[in-house]
Amino acid sequence: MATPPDFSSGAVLTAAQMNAVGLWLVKTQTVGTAVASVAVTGAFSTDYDNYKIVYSNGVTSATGELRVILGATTAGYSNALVYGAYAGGAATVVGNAAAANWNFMGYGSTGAVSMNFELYQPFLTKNTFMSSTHIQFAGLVAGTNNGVLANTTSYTGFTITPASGTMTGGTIRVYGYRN
Amino acid sequence: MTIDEYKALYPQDAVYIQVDDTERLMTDEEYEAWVAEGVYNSNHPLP
Repeated sequence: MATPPDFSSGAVLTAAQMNAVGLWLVKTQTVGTAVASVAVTGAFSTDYDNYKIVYSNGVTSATGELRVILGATTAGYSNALVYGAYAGGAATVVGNAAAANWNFMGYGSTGAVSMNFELYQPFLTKNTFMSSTHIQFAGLVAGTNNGVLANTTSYTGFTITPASGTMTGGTIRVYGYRN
Repeated sequence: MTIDEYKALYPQDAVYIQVDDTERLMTDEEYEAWVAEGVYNSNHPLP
């Protein structure tokens, strides 16, 4: 049998083939209406070291960035956004050092949200690292955002918060990368 | 945007905190802190 995902009809999958699947959907969370924040619990565990998180099909009441914290921690988040305009020109760097959250983790407007980030080892008792995309569709810029939470706390969940206003609808999906 | 404008836009009885599938209204203290941060961020937009 070919390496997944080229399965053939009626094929029986072996443990070895299933164990070769690299990304698993860990948790799906539907976002309510007019929520100031959404906490997703029970997402991280010993099953996976690293995770991919995507929030799509929602909207925000105000145009702006989405922010993230892990667990109940509100200190020690550092990240740097490097962004450029769709029209071109020089890149700009925005730093966020030892802050209360990771900022620029996503972007929202009354038309859509864009959020796609990865967390490295949030459940392990080591520093948690983050990589995210920052795609603005109203501000006409896009960039990459990377950072660290400089503690050794083990986390099982996270909270998404708009910089201002509320979120409505859409789905947050948490995927685990197979160790 | 002022605090009063923000509160008019987002009344305390119409904004929720969601934890997994459970939603609740904010306490007075939570709401005041949320309004203050939202107003600040509205008035100091980053890129």
